[in-house]
Amino acid sequence: MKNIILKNRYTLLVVTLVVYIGVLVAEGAITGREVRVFEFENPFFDFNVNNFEGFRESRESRVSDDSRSGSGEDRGENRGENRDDSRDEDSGDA
Amino acid sequence: MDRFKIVQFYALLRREVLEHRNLFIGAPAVVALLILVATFWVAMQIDETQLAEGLSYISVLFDGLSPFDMAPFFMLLAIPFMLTLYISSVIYLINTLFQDRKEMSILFWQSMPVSNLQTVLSKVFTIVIVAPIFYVLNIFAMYLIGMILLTILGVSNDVDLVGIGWMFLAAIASLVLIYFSALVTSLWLLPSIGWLLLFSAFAKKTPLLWAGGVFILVGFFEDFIFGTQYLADWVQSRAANPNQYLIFEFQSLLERIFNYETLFGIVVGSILITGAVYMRRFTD
Amino acid sequence: MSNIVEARSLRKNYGNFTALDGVDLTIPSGAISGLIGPNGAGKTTTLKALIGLCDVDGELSVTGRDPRKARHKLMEDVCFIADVGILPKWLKVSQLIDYVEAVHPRFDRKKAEKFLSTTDIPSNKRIKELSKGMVTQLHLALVMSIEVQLLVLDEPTLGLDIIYRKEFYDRLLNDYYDGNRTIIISTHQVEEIETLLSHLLFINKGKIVLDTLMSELSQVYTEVLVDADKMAEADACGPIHVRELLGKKSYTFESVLKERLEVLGELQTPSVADLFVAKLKEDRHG
Repeated sequence: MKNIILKNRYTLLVVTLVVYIGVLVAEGAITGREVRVFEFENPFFDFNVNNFEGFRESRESRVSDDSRSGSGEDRGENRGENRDDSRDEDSGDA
Repeated sequence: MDRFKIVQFYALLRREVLEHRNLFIGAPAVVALLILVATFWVAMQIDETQLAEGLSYISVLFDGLSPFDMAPFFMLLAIPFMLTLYISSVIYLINTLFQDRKEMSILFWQSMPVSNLQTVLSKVFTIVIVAPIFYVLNIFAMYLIGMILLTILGVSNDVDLVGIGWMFLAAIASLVLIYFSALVTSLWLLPSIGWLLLFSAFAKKTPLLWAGGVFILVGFFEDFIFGTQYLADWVQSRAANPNQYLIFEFQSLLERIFNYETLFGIVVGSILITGAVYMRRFTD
Repeated sequence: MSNIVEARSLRKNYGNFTALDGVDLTIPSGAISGLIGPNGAGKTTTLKALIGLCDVDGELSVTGRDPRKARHKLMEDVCFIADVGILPKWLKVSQLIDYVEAVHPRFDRKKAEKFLSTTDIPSNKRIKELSKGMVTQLHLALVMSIEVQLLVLDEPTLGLDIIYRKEFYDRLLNDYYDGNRTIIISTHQVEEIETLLSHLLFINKGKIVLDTLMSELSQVYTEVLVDADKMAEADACGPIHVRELLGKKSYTFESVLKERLEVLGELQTPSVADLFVAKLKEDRHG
């Protein structure tokens, strides 16, 4: 079997690509994959240089909130579920 | 791992940096120089009074704030460097296993007692771990020169710049964030790294064309054979949000590595890298 | 004497072209073996197979290892010089030495520097700035500083002028070969190496057509310069090759009793070059 796979570069490429596609198709079928956008927080896209003091305050209160509640829910779920409704629609968009 | 193996691996990494110093050292240095020159030129266009006001404002802006909290502020400056790193990485990865076959130096490299696995892993390690270090060093040099220029401007305009120290600390803290941003993004992009290495090792000519062409073809192939589009969905999910390629918070680092999508991507990337390792045996 | 290389039925095709067509060869330890053949005979493919740079079918053992299974382990015991172009052009000489020192457990840096001090090679120059001859000198200096069992040289002096070629073989014999190491040299410039060799291999069209120790050559092969009146008798002895020479004919015989040939004319052992031509032409005519 190894001799066939390693016969030449073309057989090896085909086998590698078959494994690659096979793994992705199998994973997609098992998990029911759809296109998802993974939202990770990016508050600095909200930054307004004319309101730096306001930004500072929001950062300070943000940091103290996180240290009380721990990270997680408003970091953006990795499986692409909808974000927290309390968040501003525009924040975090690419 | 015994000491000799570590020394061997270090020699492989050193070789990569020496061979591609233009990409890893030259390119970020040029970006840093351009940013410094542009900033300095802008500063020279500003009216003296406005410049003094601006410098005073900057000097207290970061005053009292934790450098780690304000470090993300500097990520915007990192964007041109990150873009340069990604472009350099593509150039590096698609050429690295192709060029030494083209110029036949592969016969020398393989006449040394270094396995194909060590060789390919050293290239992955170079892109994921080593190249960002040089980029960060260039950014640090830029910050240092910027700070010196700011100080000179401040002194010559009679501005109290004591608070600049806080800004500099935040800038230094941002270097850690920039480095880990690059590292985490590399892990996220490990399938792309593996893909480029595979075709760098495979192609006898035009490896980039092969990599791009086959990438498009496998998508059609999956649809044709299985009637599914999981591959296209997967790729689109990974590429969809540019926000993924810049980390703005220290707190999210671990989460970005230890999540299902990143870990699954590492598995897929490993399949492609394994293909590249075996492909290396074909020296023609 | 044990064999450092044993190969049975090596086969290799590149598309429709058969590079190796059932190559059998053994190379004794401590020999200086010449693998001689015309262009396209399969010399490079054979040597690359021995060091695991080319996948072939068949049985193969080099220093007791299969090169196809653990090439990098094999390369701790084997060194290889291809033709002059393979050192990485972008490296500086000093960087190349640093690299080899770091990756090869048996490299002696002091030895390499001592060899290089007798050349004009500056350590801060890039390899692309060196002449062809200097690149070969550099590669040889590196290789001679590594303690290995087997040295494989594939047309190492190709394209070099006579001074560098002579120096190459002088260094190889005087500074490197100690009777325990084995050297395999492939070339089509037979005259250059025939005085060095202890073991001879001819290859043509992917097959070994001769495999003999030099010490046995004279017992097996005889060349006779025959006068016109004895030519019929000479033809009857079954020569492997005949050529015109100054109005007479030179006959080459294989495994014919010398007593039978003495009557035909003066006997001598054919040179490796003449034997090479004889075997090739014999092979051509079947």
